[in-house]
Formats: sequence, structure tokens, C-alpha cells
Amino acid sequence: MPPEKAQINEFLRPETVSRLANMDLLARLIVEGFIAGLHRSPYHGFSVEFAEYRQYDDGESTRNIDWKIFAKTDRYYTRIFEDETNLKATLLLDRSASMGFESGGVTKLRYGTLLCAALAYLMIKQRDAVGLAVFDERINTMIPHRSVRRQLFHLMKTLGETVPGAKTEISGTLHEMAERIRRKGLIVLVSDLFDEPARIINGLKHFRHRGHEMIVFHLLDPMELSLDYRGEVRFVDLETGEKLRSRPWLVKKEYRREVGLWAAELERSSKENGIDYNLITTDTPFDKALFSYLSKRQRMR
Amino acid sequence: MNFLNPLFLALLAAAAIPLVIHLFSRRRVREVRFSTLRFLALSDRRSMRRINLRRLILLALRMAAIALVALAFARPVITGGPAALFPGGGPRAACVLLDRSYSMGVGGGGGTVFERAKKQVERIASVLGEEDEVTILLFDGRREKLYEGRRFTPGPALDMLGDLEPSHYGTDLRGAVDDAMSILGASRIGAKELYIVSDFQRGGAGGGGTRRYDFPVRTFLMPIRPEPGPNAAVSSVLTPRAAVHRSETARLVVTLVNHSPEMAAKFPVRVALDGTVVIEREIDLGPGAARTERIDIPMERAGWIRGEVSKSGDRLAADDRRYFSILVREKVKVLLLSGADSFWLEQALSPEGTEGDISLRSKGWGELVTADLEWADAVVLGTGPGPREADIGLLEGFVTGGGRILAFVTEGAEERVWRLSGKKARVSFGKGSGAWGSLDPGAEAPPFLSPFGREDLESLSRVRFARVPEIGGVPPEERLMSYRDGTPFMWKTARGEGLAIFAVFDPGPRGGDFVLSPLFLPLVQQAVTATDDGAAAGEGALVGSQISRKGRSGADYTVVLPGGSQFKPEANGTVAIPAGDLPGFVDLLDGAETVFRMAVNPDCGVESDLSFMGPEEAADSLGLKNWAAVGEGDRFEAGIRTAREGREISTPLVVAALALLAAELLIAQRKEMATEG
Repeated sequence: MPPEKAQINEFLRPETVSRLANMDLLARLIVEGFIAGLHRSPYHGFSVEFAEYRQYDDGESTRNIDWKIFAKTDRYYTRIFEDETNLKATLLLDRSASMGFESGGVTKLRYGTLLCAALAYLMIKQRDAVGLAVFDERINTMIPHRSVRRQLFHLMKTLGETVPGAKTEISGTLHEMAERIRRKGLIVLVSDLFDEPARIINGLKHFRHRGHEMIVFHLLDPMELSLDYRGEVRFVDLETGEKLRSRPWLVKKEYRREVGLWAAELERSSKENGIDYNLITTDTPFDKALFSYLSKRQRMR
Repeated sequence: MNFLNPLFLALLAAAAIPLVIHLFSRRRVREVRFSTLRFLALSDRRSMRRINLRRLILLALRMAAIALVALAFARPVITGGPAALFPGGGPRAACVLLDRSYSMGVGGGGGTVFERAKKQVERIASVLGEEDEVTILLFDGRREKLYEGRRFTPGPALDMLGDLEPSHYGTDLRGAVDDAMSILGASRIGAKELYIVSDFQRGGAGGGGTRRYDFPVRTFLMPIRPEPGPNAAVSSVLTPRAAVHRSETARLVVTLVNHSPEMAAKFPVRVALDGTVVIEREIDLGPGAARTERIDIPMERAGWIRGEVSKSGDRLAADDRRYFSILVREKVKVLLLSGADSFWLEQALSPEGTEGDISLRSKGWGELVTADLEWADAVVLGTGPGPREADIGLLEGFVTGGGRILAFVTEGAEERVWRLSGKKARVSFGKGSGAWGSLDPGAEAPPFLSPFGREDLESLSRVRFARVPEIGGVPPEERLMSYRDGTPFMWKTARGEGLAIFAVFDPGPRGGDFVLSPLFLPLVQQAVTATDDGAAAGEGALVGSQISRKGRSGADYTVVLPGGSQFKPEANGTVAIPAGDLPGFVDLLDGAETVFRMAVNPDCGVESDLSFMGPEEAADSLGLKNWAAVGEGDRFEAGIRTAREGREISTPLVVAALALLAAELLIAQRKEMATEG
């Protein structure tokens, strides 16, 4: 891998970017890195929203040459894609206490805020209107939709100040938000979804009922999937404070089966209701989530 | 179910070890703040229910395996219907060893240990079946078959038990087991049993390596132990090595030992001579202490004295009394008439000075007075010119009056030989060849020379003598020894009540090698004391042993054993004298005269301390493998009957334990049961 690409990709790794404090800068690094990656990838077709240029090659169609650039620079640049936008996107970030869990240096909440920041940056860059709601058992913060560049500043500030809160009551919150966000648009939910699948799906269906498109980033820590602890452990529930002494090596098989069933149920129900469901772990590079978003965006055009 | 080694049931407690480890094992538990316990609690509940069940099974398997091994050690025996599932049964070859050594005579509240042992044998007999091949062996240092039968009929065997008493022998447990194993090994019956009823004296196991018996024998060790109590012993009595004479004092060295490590002992020690207590002394011994007492006793009569040192009785009577015998001699008064060369004869007659058996008076040839002959028992005529004419008459009168004369035949002594021999023996110097002479050892030594062994006589025959004279008139029956050419060398001539002995050599420096030889002195002493018996002091023997003494041809020997029984021993150069089975005295009589007396005592050196082996030590030192210790408890018969009729299931239990462990291993090795952390 070329050095510059390795450097760019480094900013897509959660454990790397989480060490940086400036949310705006982080979002930009993630997105630019993602975009640079996309340019070198075979997925150009997904990049319809970007105003992007490259030098014209001989024999290429002249249809996409940007003549304004040619006028300014006296060089031929091919305008790859450029599109206008009218999308209203709402980022729903779960900040419940369980989102504060981490096993490898990045909490789920930190990952979620970074993901939301990157998505917001991407959306604003595409001139989409972006709104944000941060919630735990109730809606804590709600920023209305804007597409101006300044909106990004508000979003980044809010995301940067988000810390784990109380326990999750996600289904009720979803219903409340579905009532409040009236204009159809894209709803992006970032949450660990620790609630009954049926209730969650019920809340998500409420959005669908209102005509929203939905994409769910189901955010989990790798250890929450594997329970790969060594030795005897006393687990303390981050939300309830309840304690459980267990021998993970004895129960992890059953645990994995339970969690797998739960996630599968969420995915199946999501599909049945036309909701994009993405299970993402906190050790997953951000480009996967961004790519999922773009894929969804592509289908919405 | 009964157990042959019930003590091992205590090992059952070890079955709790896995449980204790399980309960008290402390794992390091770390705390992890986790997002939600929703799935974990569910999984934990479901998994642990199953895993705990498996763990419970594992725990139960481990505990059961240990319990089975502990049970196997206790050697359970099952009876009744289930016993038929296991091989065994049928007639048995049984050998019962009953210890009758003197240590079994220890007394106590419930009778002697031997009485209790006999009861044990009766109990054993009650559980032996009619179809069994039974041998009952009595043993101490010896073995004696009390009963032997292909079909067991307890009546005669038990009748013979009734009158038995402990012997005065020590224990040879190893020899007894060897004999028992030989008997059992020779039996065609496959099931073999050995019962050992003994106090298991440590000294009885003997030394040496452990024997291994190459056929299976089920052994029941049945220890009979005395009750604790005082135990002190007269350990040994040493008599003087030198000859003891009448009116002298004999010193006894008596060793007393208190074998009890806890109790002090205080008791009077008595010394008795010929049944009369002559000395009594109080002895104080601390726990485990030994003490040596030197006791001087006056000897007021000559002859063989019966002596005993005894103390007050304690629980082991066998070692409270020790016998000794002393030969008290009268001193032989010897008058030596000699010339200037009297030194050699004085040395020969009285080498020990006043300590010896001879009281010597030495005079020159012209100094003899009648008072000398009245004093003397014997007269020795040495070298030199010889007695005066008048003195020859006195000497003849001395001999015929019952005196004894030893006359050395040297040149110039021809006349006195002729006169003293009753004018029979004629000696002539200077007429012979003058050649060197040597003695004929003879095929058989004459009685007079019996103190000398064959080697002594051979040695004597190698001495060369100068100037062998011609000698005539000596009948063959009077000859004590001859030169090789038949010329008499020593002979004796009876004159009236007395005896004259003539020896043809010069006892002065001219006598050469013979005078300097170690044979010269005893030969001269023998001639003047005229006894065929070389015994000096009483010898001691242990019960059951045998000693040999030189015998005299033609003697009419009778051996009188302790208890009074007598027999005529064979006297073929030596006399074999058995000590007998009882302590006391063995007398060797020649006609009516006691020529030797021997004290007989039990061998208390080994067992007197009453140190006993535990069953494990006994089995180990005797090389016994398949054994069980059976006490005197109430369940004794039931235990043996159970052991005999039932089937021991130790091996199936061990197999079952191994199977359980294998199952445990299989379950424990499942991945999900493997321990982490």
C-alpha cells in the first residue's frame, strides 16, 4: 500500500481518530480519507453526489469536461459527478449508559459521535440538510435541519460534548422523535439497540409510517459479541448497576447464540420493514458505515 | 459387609477433599463494567444450570473414586448372595502359628498372654471348616506340630492346647513363617490362609532380607499384647574365669536392666548357693536404666556349686532369675624335691602362683622331713642326684599310703624308679643306641592324656628327645605314652592306695624343646592332680542349646537335665551335653560323681525388653503381602468368618475407581469444562 494511502486509511480507523479531540477536524479527516479511498476504488458509481475533478485523458469523452475550470486554469479537467441535493437527514445518536462501554479503547458512544460527525460532514458537503437528536431515555438534544456550513459547527460542538447518560428507553424515544420530525427524509439511527427487538422495530416502523427512509447503525463492541474474557469475572451492568459473577469461558457459547439471535431478529425485522440495518463493531473502520450511507443515498435518488 | 482393615475406613474422610477444594478454592475475580447483563444473565442461567450439573457429576465422580480407593484399602468383604458374584469359596489350607516363647508368659489381669493366645486359637478353630486342611504349629525358637489333618476336627487339637504352657525359648517368628509357608505351599488346595497368634516380639523377626513367597496366602496377624507394667530383668551373671578354691571368695558380676521406659524399679536381688540365700541387696533402677553389681560370695565347700541370682517377680518372670554354677576346688598340695634345676618344674606346677590349683612347697634333695610328706598330697621328684636312701623309704611309704608321686626319669635316677615302681621298672642309661627319639601320638590318646587334643599330641610327637634309655618291666596297660620305638615314655604304677607316675625326660634346661613347649606345664599338672577333667568353672548354656566336652574313655556318664530327666550320652572322645528345655542345671555324672555342672538359662538378651512390632512392621519384615490385622475384639470370629466365607472386593473397587476416574477425565476434558484463567 502506498504511504499516502496508508496514512489516509489510518484516519478511518476508530482507535486512531478517537485520540484526536477536534471533532470538526476528525470528521473532515474521516470523510476525506474515505473519499480518497473511494477514488481509488472500483465504486465510483456511488460517488454521484460529489463534485470531483480529475485531469482529462486523451481519447476520453469530452462530455464531462468542466470548461469553467479550463477557463481559469487553461487545463482540461473532467467533472466526474455533481449533483444538487434536497435531502433532509436526521442523525439519531443513542447516548445511553450502555453506549459508554468499551473493551479496546473506544467506547461505543465515541465511535457513534465520530460516525455522526463524519456523516454530518459528508451530508453538509453535499449540501444536504442535517439535523441531530441525542437521546437516552428521553431526547436530550435536538438540532433542527440546516444545510449551511455553519450547521456543521453546531453539530460538531454538540457531538463533542456528548457523554454517556442514563439508561436506554429507545422505543419510546423513537416514537417521540417520529412525531417531531414531520418532513420526510433520511433517519440515521446510531445505537446499541439494547431493548426488545419488537419494541425497537415498532419505533422504527413509526418513522417508516411517516415516510422516512431509515438506516440503522447497530453499534456494538466486539466483546459484546464474543464475550471473550479470561478468568472469572464479576460483571456490573452499566445502566442498572446490577452485578453478575460468571465464568465467561463456560457461558460464552450460549451468550453468543443469544446475542446472535437477537441481532438476527433485528436484521430480519428491519429488512421486512425496508430499513437498512448495519451491524457495526467499534473496531470497524468508518468507511464501512459511510459506504452504507452512500449506498442508501444512492438508492434514494 | 465387613472390613479386614477397618482402620483404613478413616481414609473415607479423604473423599471430602474434592468438595473442600471446590468450596474453598479462591479464584481471582476481576470486575468488568459491562453494557448490559441482559443476555449474559440469560446465558449464565442456562449454561450454568447444565455446567453445574456436570460439575456436580464430576465432583461426585471424584469423591466416589477416592471413597472407593479408601474402601479398597479397608479391604471390604461381602457375604451372602452378592458374594457369589465374586470368585472364592471351597476348602482352604490353613496354618495356625501359636507363639509359645517365654515372652508369652507375661502375666496380667486377664491371665498370661499365652492363655489369651490359646483362646484366640480356639476361636480360630471355631471358624475353620471340616473340609479345611489345618495345621497348628507351636513355635518359639523351635517348631512343633500340634495338629495336622486333611479334614479338620477341632476336638483333639483343642484338647492338646489345654495343658500347654509358655516355653523358656525365645521367638523365631521368621523360621515359623517359613515352615508355615512350606506347609501351605505343599498343599494342593489353592486357597491358603495363615493365622499368626503372637505378641510379635521385635527380636523374633530376626535379621536378614525380606523373604518373598511366590504363592498367594491370606494372612491374619493376631497380636496379643500384655498390659503395660514394670519389667526389670537379671540380664546376665558372670562367674570368675579363674579357678575358685574352697574358703576363697568368688566375685559375681550381675547385670540388671529396667526395660520399662516409664517406671522406676526398686527390688531386692538375692544370691543363693545350693538353695540357701547368702546375699540380699536392694537395687534401685531408674526408667530404662541398667546397672552392673559386683557381688563377692564366700565359697565354703568344694565341688560343683548351684547358684542363682534372682529378683522379685514382675510381669515377665522368665528373666527374673538366672542360674550359674561354679566349680570350687580344693588346692592340691605338691612337694617338689629337686636339685638346682627346680625352676622349670616350679613354673610348670604353679604358673599362677597362689591363684592356681596347686599349693607348692619346694625343697632340695637333702631337706626332706616327714612333716613335708604329711602335708603333701603329691610329690614331684625332679632332676639332680635324687633322694637319700632313707628318703626313698619315706617316699615308698607315702605312695603306698595313698600319695601320688611324679618322678622324672633322668640319668642317676634308675634306682628310685626301680624302688618306687615296686621293683618292676628297670631303666638303663648309656646301653642304648643313644639315637634321638620321638613320641608316638597313637591312634587314640589314653585317658591320662585326654586333656590334650589330637593336634596337641601330633605336636608332641614332633618333639625330639635325646638319649632314650632302655626301659623294661613296664606292662603295656600301665603305659601312658611311648616313643615310636615302643620304649615307654610315661607310665603309671599303682602302689597300695597311691600312684607313681614316671616320665622319661629331663625337666631341666637339658630337656630341650619339650620343656619349653606349651604342653609341658599342663602335662606336669595333670600328672600331680591326676584328674582327667579339665573343667575349671561352671559354664552357662541357653535353653535348647548343646555343648560338647571332652570325655574319658570308659567313663560311666549320665546326663541329668533340669526337671530330673536323665540319659546316657555317647562318649566318643567328646560328650554332647544338651541343655534341655528348662532353665536350671545340667549335671554330667561319671558314676555317682558329678564331673561337670552347667547352668541353663533362657535367652533373655533379645526379648526381655518386651518390644513389639505393629502389624505393618511385622508383615513387612516377614515378607507378608496379603494380610490383615485382627484384634482380640468381640467381632473377632465374625471378622474371620466373614473374611473366610465372604469375598474380598478390594480389586473390583479399585477397578471401579479407575473407571470413575476415566469417566471423570473424559468429562473434564470437554472444551467447555476446561478451566481458564
